[in-house]
Amino acid sequence: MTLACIDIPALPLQLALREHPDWRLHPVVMVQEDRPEALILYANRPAQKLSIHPGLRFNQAQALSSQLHAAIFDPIALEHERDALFKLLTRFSPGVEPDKYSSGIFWLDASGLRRMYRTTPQWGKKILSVLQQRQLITSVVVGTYRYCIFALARMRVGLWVLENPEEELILARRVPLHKLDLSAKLLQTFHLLGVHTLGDFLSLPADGLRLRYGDEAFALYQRASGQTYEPLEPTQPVEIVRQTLQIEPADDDLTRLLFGIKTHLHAMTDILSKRCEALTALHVKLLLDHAPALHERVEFSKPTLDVLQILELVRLRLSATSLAGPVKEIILEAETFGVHPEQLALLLQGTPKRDLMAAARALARIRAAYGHNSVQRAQLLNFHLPEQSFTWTPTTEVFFPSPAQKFDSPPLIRRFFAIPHVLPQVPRHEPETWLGSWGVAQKFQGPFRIFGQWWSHSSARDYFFIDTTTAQILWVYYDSHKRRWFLQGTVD
Amino acid sequence: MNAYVPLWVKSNFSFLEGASHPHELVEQAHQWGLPAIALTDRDGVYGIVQAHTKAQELGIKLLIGSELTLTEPHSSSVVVLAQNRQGYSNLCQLLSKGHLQTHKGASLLNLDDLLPFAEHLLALCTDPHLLEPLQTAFADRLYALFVNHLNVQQVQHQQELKKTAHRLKIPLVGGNEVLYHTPARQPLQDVLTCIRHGVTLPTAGTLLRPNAEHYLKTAQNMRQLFMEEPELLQRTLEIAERCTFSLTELRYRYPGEKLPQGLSETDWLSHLTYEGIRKRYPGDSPPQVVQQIKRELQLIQELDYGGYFLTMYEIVQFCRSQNIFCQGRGSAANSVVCFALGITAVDPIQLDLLFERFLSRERAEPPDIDLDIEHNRREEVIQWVYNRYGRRYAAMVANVIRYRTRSAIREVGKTLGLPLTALDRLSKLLGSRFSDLSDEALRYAGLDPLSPVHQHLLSLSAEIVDFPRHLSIHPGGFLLGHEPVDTLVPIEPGAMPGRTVIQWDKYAIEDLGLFKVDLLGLGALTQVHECFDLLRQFENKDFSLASVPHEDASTYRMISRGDTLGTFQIESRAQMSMLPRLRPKTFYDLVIEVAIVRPGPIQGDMVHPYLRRRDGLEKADYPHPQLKQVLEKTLGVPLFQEQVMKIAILVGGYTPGEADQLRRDMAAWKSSGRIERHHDKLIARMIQNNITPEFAERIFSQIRGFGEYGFPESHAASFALIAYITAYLRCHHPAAFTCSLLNAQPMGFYSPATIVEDAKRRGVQVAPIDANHSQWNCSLFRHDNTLGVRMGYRYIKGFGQNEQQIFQQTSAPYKNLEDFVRRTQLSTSALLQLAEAGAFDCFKMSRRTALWDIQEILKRRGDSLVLPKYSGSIAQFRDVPLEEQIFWDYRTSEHSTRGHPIAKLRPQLSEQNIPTAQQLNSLPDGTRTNYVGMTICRQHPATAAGVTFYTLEDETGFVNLVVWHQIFERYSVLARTALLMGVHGKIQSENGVVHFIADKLWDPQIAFPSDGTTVRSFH
Repeated sequence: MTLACIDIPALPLQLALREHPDWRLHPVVMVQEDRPEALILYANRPAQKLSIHPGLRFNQAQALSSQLHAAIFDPIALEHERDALFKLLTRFSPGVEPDKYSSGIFWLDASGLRRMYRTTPQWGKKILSVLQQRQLITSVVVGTYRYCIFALARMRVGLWVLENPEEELILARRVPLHKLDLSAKLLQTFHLLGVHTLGDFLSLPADGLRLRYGDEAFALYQRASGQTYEPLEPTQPVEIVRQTLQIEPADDDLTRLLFGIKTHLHAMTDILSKRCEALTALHVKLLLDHAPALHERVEFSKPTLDVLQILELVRLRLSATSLAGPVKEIILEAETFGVHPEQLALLLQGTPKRDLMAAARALARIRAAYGHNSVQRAQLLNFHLPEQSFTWTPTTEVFFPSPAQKFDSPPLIRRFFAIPHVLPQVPRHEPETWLGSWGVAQKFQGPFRIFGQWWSHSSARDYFFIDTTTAQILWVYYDSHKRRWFLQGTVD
Repeated sequence: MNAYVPLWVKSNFSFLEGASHPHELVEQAHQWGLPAIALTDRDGVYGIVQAHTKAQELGIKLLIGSELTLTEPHSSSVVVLAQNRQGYSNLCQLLSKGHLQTHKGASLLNLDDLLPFAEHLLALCTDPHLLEPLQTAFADRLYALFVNHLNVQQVQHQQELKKTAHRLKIPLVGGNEVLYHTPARQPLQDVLTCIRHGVTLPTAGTLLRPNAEHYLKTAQNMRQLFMEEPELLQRTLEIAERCTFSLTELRYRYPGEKLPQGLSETDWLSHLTYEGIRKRYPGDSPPQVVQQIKRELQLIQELDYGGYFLTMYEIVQFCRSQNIFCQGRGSAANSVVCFALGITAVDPIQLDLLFERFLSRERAEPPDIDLDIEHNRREEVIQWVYNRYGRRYAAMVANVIRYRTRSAIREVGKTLGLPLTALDRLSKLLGSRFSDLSDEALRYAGLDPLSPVHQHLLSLSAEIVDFPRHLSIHPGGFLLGHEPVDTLVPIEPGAMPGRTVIQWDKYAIEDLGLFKVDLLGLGALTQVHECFDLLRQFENKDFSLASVPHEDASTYRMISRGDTLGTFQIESRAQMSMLPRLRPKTFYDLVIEVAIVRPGPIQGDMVHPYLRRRDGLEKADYPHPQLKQVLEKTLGVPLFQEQVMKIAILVGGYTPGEADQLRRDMAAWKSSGRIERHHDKLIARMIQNNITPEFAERIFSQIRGFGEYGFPESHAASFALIAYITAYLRCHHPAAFTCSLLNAQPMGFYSPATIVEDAKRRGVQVAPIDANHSQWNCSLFRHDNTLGVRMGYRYIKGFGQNEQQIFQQTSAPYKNLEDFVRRTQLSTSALLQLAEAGAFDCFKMSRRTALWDIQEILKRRGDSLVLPKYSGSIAQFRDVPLEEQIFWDYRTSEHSTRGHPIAKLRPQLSEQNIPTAQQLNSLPDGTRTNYVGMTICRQHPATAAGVTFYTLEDETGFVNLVVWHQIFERYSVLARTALLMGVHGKIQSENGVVHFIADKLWDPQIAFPSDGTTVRSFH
């Protein structure tokens, strides 16, 4: 079998440099986290020229260069890039295996591609060119032995096609050990022993190696010597469960459409239950006749396989939507979540009726009808300004209330307006007219001062509670910055 | 009613809470015309001395108290104020109790703790739930403290407080919590709060106070706040009247010593002094000495300082009894009594030292005796002092850690939410590229100076600088008391186990005129002690500090060559350069040498006139016949603090006390400008004494330049004595000297590698670490009738107490590697380090084979049956070439006895006509050449106008490299990081002193491992 090793060295750093092309000529490092003592994971060439190497702490490196730029390791961006690269490489080979240990390495099955690309070098060049377009510096090595081509990929950037397996073995023996991602400890051990290349390493007795340095060294020996059979384990792209429903002739009757959807939902849940998966959300794509397609996403309160519940939520969502034309095709796509078979059985049986669950379902229906953010709950925050003392957060669950404090008599409740009402300036004459329909101010309590937030939008407010002739208590403030009175709310 | 008294005031000594210095609060209160102000810092009286000094100066009354943190019935606090001396004593004891029953930096008290100490204390309570339990303890001394911070959250609480106070008939008093003297400090207080809680400003929320109402208000402001109940403010005056205590009432008595029956303190001190002086001067003591003793004893008796001298005597006696080397330093060496008691070792009469520098009637301030103790045994002495006087009677003095620019940037920046990496970069730029935080520094660090957040960073960092951050321990200062110290000042646990520390630092102690006993650690004494022990053991020579032969010519010859590596005080690069110019021939020359290489004489432009006169190039002139007596020994140039004082006395008409004040003002002139007060007085009086105005001005400018960096002659003499002893040992007993120096590390300027190389160049055989010969410490061995040094295991990197214990329990010889591995039971990493360091060469195996075999032996170390070596396939390893062995040595032990790393590069260097250090040092002045050497020392003195001094080393010696600022910046990476450095430059040779002035730095591009070698950088 002919294999190809695609090695994108220091992929996370390359991604950071792609984000900041202006950094390329400067020393740049990638650190594990945003703190001065963070470990340097990667360093570009200008940084390495200044003796800044991975393993150093950022603050140590700064002593070597005050011009040093730092990028923070972003695992999410890396994962996205790896997914994208995986998809990209599947265009060149049906067998693509992302390496388990190194984020920048992919293994490709390079057999039988000559018909498409005429020669292996042309195939390799194509890959290189695609990756170059993504601004990634890459090595592509094609050969026979997995470890040998990996080792050789570390030797130079670009394409290297090795036709002769024996030559491949000989060349690989010259590769320095420090290029091969060995653990620092093992590398140091062999360095001290004067074992600097793969060839030096392979001349050590294998049994002695295992006895002294354990499985890592022995496994390396076996891989490097070709004693381990390492077949390509291509990753299969996850197949999305999809149901397509052709409607002939196009129809805009919701009941008939739902009836059709129901049949396909049964088929979908059957497939999912076999895959030990449950639905967390359903994408409903409606292709319309002579009108743009419509896409709705229906989210469930919990992973489910309950067709009736799913159908009910789809009905709510579609009835809230007006169709610009008759539907000619419906595509259902599942968003799923893997579950244990035992849990799956529970999902299929249905769950006991409990009020909180019912409430959760009700909320799910509201979300289905009005969108994900339509159900929110207030969460208290410890801030001085009333408008900052709470926040709304989307919620999918409801809880039983648990009051933290008990009162002998009902507490006074301050209700405030979403946007404070601007009050007129206090008239010099006839001040009793100031509050208008709220009545005449009788008694003031205050001021209660909030003065701070000087680091952003500073606030300077004097709050008062005003008893009015209409038996109301108003909650007002004077804003010294704006030089205006505002009605914040009322007190019940 | 016109006034009120702020009763709940917290300064920045309520660490990370208060946002004003104590003196700022007192000044503001005075400015507002308030009759008094309280200082009630959280769980302490840290700042009261500062506040007291300012209050005395301004004539405003200071009430002293503290806010006590309580744990019961719930987390709360109560403010207490001392009514009188007894109340203050109770407060201090209460605070000590609170601190000693929890961890460092915190205090916790419960209600039961308060009860025994509540007498003579007034309590102010804001917590309605605490009123009833506190009433039991404080009775009519309890007040309900009603606050009005315009905070809506406090309304309900305050109503409850009022209700409870009325019910319990507890009087209400009005007042706010003051955290800063001006509302402009609110941002800083917010920042401090964030630092304290470890949060950022945007996320701090209600941890921050809602407004800026915690400032020190005027009486009018307070009247408006308490408009409805003005009697609440009236009561603050009533409370202030009830508190009569002032720090001036503190009557400190030095602890009395155990005296023989029938003898007074003075009698006993007199007896010990005369007994001591008889030992110092066998036979009849010179009349001058006897006269001086009488004068000193009379003054000591008059000022009642006898106990202090007896304490120092006792400590010295304890050290002697335990064979711990010690010696007094500083101005104590001016006293014959100290010399007679054995506290100091320098004869002040012989050196004509000025007693008034140590003690004077006018000053009536406690004397300051600093005792140097060999550093590895100082803790024994400290613990003895604790035991001798008791934990309540002895505690160490605090050291207040304050914000400096770098720490300010880091912590303020964090609260502003700035990226930590950027802050780190900015803080590192300060002190290297920029001296102050400025727009330019921000720009250089990649931060936009126009951005508001960076503006906040600038202003707040500047404000927070010098704010106290936390308390630490003074290196060796003790406060001892006749009465328990915790009745004077609270005692806290120190971070170090077994240490307790008071809440005041040395400045507060000085301001209050309290006695401090300084017990300082000195590595040189440890070294000298060990060297004497080795000489006794190997050469049968019995030396003591006093019996080292005086005025040894060969020692002075060696010193005059600048060949002083490892000696005390005269080993630095600057000292080594000065020695060939000064060429000391007597002990007094050495005293001058120690004193002259100091920023004071250098900045006062005294060095060159002195050297010219010494070389006979310039005549010593004296502006007044009387000054000849004072300045004769320094050829007319004032080099010591005592000389300045004597000039002031003789030609300025100063009394000794005034002269001492001049000395103090000299020390403080940079910060306060107090020296200028003496200008007119001194010049006028000198002119009256027929000194020309020009010369008078010159003397004054020298005094000004002297500043705080000048040495007193007595101090220089004490140090010179140790310098001479170490030089003598180096000259005559190089092996013992090297061995003891290596065992006393870390100390001094040079790395072990440099010490080893220096010893080898002086003919000392230094043997490597060897499993069958080494001990934990370096040791001496005899070879062909000469002594050599065997390196000890202590130099293996990573070896510590565990390994030390192992080597003390097992002993060589070992049959083979397996025997060593089994018997020592050392860890894998320790064994591999030893193999790498070549310690198993004695088993006739290469380092690589040892590394390979150790792993195999370790697998069966636990087997009780010793089987033959595993017979698997044989591994063959390349030999480690010598140059690599040297690098391995450096990596594992920071030195090599096998050779100098550069020696193996020599053929390559010679091919390029690059000279050795020895060759370079003999090149004529002005020669241009290249040189390659190892950087062993990098100095960047603040007084050197941006010049960096390097010491480069090769196998033949040292090269003194001078790198000017612009060259340093041009080759900054190389200059900062290179261990092996190539330099092109010019030779500057004068009077045998050679400097190599760099034009260009370059990388020699020779494989040279960086691990293991270290450069010592000094600023």
